[in-house]
Amino acid sequence: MVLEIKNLKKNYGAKEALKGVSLSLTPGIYGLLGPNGAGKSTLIGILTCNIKASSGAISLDGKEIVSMGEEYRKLVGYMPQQQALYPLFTAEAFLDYIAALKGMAKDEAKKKIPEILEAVDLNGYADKKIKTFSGGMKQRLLLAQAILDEPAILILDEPTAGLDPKQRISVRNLISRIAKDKIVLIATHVVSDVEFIAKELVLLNDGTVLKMGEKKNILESVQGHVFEVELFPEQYAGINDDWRIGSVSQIKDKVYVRVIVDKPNFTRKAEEVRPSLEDVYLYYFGGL
Amino acid sequence: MISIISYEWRKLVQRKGLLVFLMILLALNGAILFSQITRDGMPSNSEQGSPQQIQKQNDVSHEEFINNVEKQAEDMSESLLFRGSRFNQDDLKKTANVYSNLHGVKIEKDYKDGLKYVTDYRVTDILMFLAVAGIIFDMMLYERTGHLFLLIKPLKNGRGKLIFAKYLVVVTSVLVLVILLFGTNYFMVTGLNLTGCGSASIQSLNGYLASPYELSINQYIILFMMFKSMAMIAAGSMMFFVCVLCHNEIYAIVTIATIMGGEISLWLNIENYSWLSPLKQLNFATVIDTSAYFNDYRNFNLFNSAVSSMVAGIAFMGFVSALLLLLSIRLFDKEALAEEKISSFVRTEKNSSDITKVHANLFLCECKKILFMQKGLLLIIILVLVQSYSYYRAPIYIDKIESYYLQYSSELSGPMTEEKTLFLEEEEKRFEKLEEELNQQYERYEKGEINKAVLRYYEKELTPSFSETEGFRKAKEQYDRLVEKNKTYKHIEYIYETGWTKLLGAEGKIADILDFLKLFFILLLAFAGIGPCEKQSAVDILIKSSYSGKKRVTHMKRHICRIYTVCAATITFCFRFMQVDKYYGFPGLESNIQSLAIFSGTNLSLPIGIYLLLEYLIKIAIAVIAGELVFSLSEKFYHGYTVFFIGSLIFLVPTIVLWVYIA
Repeated sequence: MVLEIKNLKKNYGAKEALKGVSLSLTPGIYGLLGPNGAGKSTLIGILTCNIKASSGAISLDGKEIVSMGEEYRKLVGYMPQQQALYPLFTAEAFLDYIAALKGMAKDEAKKKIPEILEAVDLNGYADKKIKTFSGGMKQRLLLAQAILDEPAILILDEPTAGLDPKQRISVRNLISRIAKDKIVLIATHVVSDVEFIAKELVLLNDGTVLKMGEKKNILESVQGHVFEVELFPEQYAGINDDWRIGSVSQIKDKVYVRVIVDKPNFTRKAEEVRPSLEDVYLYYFGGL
Repeated sequence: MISIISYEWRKLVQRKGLLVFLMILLALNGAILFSQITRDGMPSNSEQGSPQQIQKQNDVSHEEFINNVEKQAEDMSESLLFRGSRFNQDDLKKTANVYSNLHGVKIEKDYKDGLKYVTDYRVTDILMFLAVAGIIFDMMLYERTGHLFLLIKPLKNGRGKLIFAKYLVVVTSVLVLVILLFGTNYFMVTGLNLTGCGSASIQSLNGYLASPYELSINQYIILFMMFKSMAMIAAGSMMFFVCVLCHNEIYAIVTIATIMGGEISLWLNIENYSWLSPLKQLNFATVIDTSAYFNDYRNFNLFNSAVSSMVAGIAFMGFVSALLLLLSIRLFDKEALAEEKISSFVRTEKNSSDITKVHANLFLCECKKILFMQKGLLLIIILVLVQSYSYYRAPIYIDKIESYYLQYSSELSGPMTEEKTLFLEEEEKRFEKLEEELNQQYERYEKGEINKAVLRYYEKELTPSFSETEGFRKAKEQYDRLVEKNKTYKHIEYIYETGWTKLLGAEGKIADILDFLKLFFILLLAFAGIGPCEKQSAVDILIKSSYSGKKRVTHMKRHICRIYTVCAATITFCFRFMQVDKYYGFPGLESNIQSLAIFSGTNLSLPIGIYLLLEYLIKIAIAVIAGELVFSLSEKFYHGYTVFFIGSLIFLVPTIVLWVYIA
């Protein structure tokens, strides 16, 4: 299965939200990283048929998804960033409605709904109204509706927003488990969501794909640009403007600043460190 | 505080949809009024038949009227009938006192009648009510549905002060609207030269002879505007409170409609002298009928004392406005507490949880959404209750003339035959013979052969009752008409036609218009929120990206709306049919429609049953088209109340105007 995105463009009036994005996605987990306004939601909107592209094409196994219509939509599971729920429905009723929208058979829905609720740890809340749910529970319910019919293409927009660390890990592991033979695209700001599970990362900024590749290759691209600089507290105020600061920590009378630079040129003690995905994010999308 | 008020104004004027709505209402008011004036024929002098006319000014002078009032009051207060009641004594004394101050007031004869289009034009009242409702809904529900209150309420000035600021904006808006709407009417009638000199006394106006005030017409106009503003502020306070109370636009609209419906019902059905008259006087509908305070002096019975309705009206408007404002502030401030109390009550009452039967059926899911989420089922129940109340609380009485007509109709029903013609001739002869015999007795009385008592006896015996002769005349006229028709059309039969006239004639048409008004109202409430609900909950995103897709789901919803509309229309129109059938029946379904007098001016020739079926199908078709249009509107807008108000302009206002014109 190959989802091919070719030269995708989208304009909102004079604003170019996507400027010719091209990607090729095969089964596996892809992390879509980018700052606000990068075009992630627009790209996802086009992939989920919520928005029409201005130009370009998306094809699945050679067939254009626009012409495939419901055949394509049957393969897609989507978790939006907004909490798209009916507050007066119970969790079970909401999933029943989603099952109807997905065209699932009655027996299949009856079997899957309890399983999915258990998978997202909501099995005790099936008959409770959604308006009584916490933010995290609503997120999990949204994830549940996305994976209800085990779609071949799973698109998750900020799947862990509002979840505590334990729940984040749980969701991450769930995604990892179900991702076999599926194309999973996770759009997120939270680097740790994709750090351990994504096979490839897509860095999107200002409507363009800056980089796409395996995590280790992307990390290698930043090798030699990430340093830890040792400073005295009074020196901290005078640090260079072109340093992108990853973190600052004070130990005893020294300040240790993790910086990302294009060209290393230090007058103070600086040690090169192994880059993390956060460093990658800062390197490509700017820092504090 | 001033900056909060100014921001509330800014929010209001930024709502372009609302401004367009108000402009349309203003334009409609002007257009409908102009059309009414031209239809009425540009009256230059006092016209007969105006709504509040009680006597022709040319016949009774004001001085004579005052003297009559004083004399009547004196006579009545001395009579046994009125002596025993404290209210009556009080009422008569106060009435005499009030009018005694008006000796010497000069009235201008033949004063132009145009001012009634300012003071008594109900269409403007309705449009004013809609305008105020639109502003209040937009102000309260817009922020609630946008969850902006979640942001605003935790802030220091986000509760009482905010609500007070909003209320002040409502009050100011009402004042502006009164000036715009009623001012338009005033300028139109003065521009068309339909009013006279402004310094003439108020008693010069048609129907105002009994006015107890020494005012000029100009003074009256100013006071009228002030009173109308106060009345609309009071009504607006009620709507404001309901919008704070109800977080859902359907509940809010139904609550307001129920309150106003109840008030109008009390206003129309309770008499001033009744012990229930406080319910009539302390009433939104009564205070909105502003001119009634100026064109007559009325006291009402408040615990057996006569209290001026004007004083009661002013007190009611002031008290209600203040009370509802305070309640609104309190409720808004304590919403969280109220919700906790309600939910703890619901928790203790509810033992079982909501169990869902999984069926994964899109049709059933969408039905559930329309019937339960959009309160469609509740609205159908309300429709059934309203129609039951409307038709079964107003029984039809069959008088004696009708009874005789029915008797003759039973003899004559069916095709025209020689026997029936002979029967009519014999009946006519019988009446003539009775008349002859009676004339003979009169002659005998004149000759002195019989005395008066005997004459009275013969009068009683030989005079058929008026009801019988009228009943016979009606039946014979119908028969003779049908004999003529029979020469041109086939299947002409004599039918007892009262039921058909009630259902399909002028009275039936007026009832149909009212039924359509109720049906449109229900359809607007049921369908206005369908599209907005998906957008506001953001489930629209999931629907668009699902296998079923937006098109299929929309198609399914449209289909369900059609079924719902057909059910609602059937319920709406069946009640009148059943009521008329209960009292009169519908004989002759297979007869030609030309058998009925109401169709004698047309060339239609088909069985009555087919015509009836076609008429009901057309009514249902109109309802379905209306439902489709409302559904389409709901797909376009974000807020349900926006759809409701646009729908009101398209459906409710024209229906009301049509009803006012025809009724």
